[in-house]
Amino acid sequence: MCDTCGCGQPDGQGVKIIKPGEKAVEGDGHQNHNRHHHHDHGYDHDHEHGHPPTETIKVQQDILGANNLVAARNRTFFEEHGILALNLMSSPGSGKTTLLERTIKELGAYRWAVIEGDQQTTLDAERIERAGADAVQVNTGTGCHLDASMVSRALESLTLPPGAVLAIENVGNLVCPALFDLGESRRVVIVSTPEGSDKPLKYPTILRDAHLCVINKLDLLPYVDFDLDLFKENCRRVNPRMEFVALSATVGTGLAGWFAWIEQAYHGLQPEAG
Amino acid sequence: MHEMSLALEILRIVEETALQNQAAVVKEIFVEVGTLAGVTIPALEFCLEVVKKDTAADGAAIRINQVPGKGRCPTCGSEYPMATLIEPCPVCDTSYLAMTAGDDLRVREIEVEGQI
Repeated sequence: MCDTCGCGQPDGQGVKIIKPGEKAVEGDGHQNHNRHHHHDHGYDHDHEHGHPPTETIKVQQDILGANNLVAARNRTFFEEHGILALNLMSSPGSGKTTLLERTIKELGAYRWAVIEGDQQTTLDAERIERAGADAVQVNTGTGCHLDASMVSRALESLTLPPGAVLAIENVGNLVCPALFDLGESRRVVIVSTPEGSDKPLKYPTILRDAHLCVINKLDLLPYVDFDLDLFKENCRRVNPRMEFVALSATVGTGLAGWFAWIEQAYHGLQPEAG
Repeated sequence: MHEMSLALEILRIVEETALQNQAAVVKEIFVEVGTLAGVTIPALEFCLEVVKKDTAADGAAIRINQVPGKGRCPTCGSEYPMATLIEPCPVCDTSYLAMTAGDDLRVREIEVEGQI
């Protein structure tokens, strides 16, 4: 069973790349894991004639090496085309898609494109297209995170002009996406106020390598137990350089700070721009 | 869980290595996992046991070595053991250690037997 490309799964569940309104493209998901099936080498487990000598083979290979190679290729592609690529990570329901919808509608100076990641459905990609940006959906099936290969494949179905901003909305999960470099320019973690001020202490791995933490659902502050200063302090224990913006994607509070951060990140990529 | 993706990649590396060396059977797989790598070792072991079935590594023993974490205090500059990602400096107390070691995730070596 493979939770990345789904090969060997009897019900055919695998990673699918889907443009809203079109048929799913399964494609070749085997770039980083060529085969999982039985190789018939005629293994001899019959030891009645004595053991053949064993040999140690040094490997010293990084398990994330193959993913990082594809991520580096993605990163080079983005850099060569002046594309700001954002990896948005959060628990399910923190408001990633709502924030993107709002941003696409209100930050019209940029050409937006979005890669949506979910286990199932094209619901989020459809929302993004209705908001006015080109979107492609990655359905991981049983998978819990996006990896660089999935992003690479998704890019084939996306219109991404030079100078665009690409948002990659990762699978809702505060644990697994942390380990997988997608080739992004910036990592953004979104946490919402109902999730609590101690969230950073409980899920430090995903915060460690993030550039920005967005605190969403500011409008719910009167109804939930959330201390913004304590939250930031907890974040800084694992990532002293973390930047923060606090906002409400539904009501609109604090969006200016988010837009300013995007503009700063974007202009950081374009050294020749005025 | 992501340990399944990692187990599949370990298996790919192991099989590719065995094939390149024309080895028939993999007897042992040695993996290094840092304490601060974000990987649960029992979960990784479980996933490896599942994915290695019916492959050249079917009967291989899985040997996972846990590499200890270390971190440096930004205030006093000394290095201390780091068991989790949020560790206060034992001396300065209010300063938190920045990781210097322990996020390893590597296939170190394999023991093979026989020739194909």
